[in-house]
Amino acid sequence: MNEPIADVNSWSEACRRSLAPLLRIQQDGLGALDRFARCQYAVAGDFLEWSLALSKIMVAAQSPADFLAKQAQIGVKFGGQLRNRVEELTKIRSEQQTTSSPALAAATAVTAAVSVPATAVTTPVPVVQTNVTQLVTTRSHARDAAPKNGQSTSKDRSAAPSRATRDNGKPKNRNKT
Amino acid sequence: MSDSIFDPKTIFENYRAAFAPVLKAQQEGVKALERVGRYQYAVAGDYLDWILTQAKATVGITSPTEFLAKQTELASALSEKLRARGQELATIASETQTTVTQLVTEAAAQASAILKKAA
Repeated sequence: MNEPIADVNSWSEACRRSLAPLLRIQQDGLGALDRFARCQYAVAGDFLEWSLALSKIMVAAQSPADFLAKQAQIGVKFGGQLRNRVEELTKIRSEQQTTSSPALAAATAVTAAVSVPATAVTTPVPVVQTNVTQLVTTRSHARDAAPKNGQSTSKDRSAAPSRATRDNGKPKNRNKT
Repeated sequence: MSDSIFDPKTIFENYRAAFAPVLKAQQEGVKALERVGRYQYAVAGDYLDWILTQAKATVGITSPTEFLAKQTELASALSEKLRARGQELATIASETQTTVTQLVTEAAAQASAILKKAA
């Protein structure tokens, strides 16, 4: 008789093989995240350079005209840098989309290859009706068991049927009597 | 009787000469701010590198032992970098202090010279 041996390595390897497409997608996503974060860092560096250059100009300006001219020059340069960064981000996005498509296709293929027994899908699930209320056709004794002074306990109130069900669904208007 | 001529350039130059120490202090302050800003940016870059490398190590591990070894290696590298950055910050602080001391000394000498001349 063969006894099953708990082999952690083979179990881990099996898990790795079955989740290989997911791992691949994770690695690709991480690569894209890396590039995106570095691009954001570079944008932050551009902002830092711009603000430092602006503060230097403010201190070293000889005249308002000189200050405005230099400010415009720095603004134009900074705008060009930002445009390049946006192009870089767009390129990262498109490249990531191109890279992740084969991995997603592989994951889809693996999902399709997994055979699910037909009985697991087509077996009807028993329907359990939970919202069916049963009408009470007999008069409850809870009313007779109530204390004579007219003060019923909470236990009695929960045990006794409501007025609508007690009177066969026909509530009586007591004001007319 | 001599008429005084309104000369904005002379007034502007006089103001510049009077506020020269202040301007110099401002320039030095901007320089120190630039160094501190670049330093902070570099520290942020170190942290970014650390986080990204750690994420890559987390995804690419094959065993818990390897993961722990890589994490230890990364932590030691980051601590080394941060120690170097701490020394850099100390250097910046000492140099800025030296510059400020020099500026104050120069401004005081200039002011005393002007006062002596006026007396």
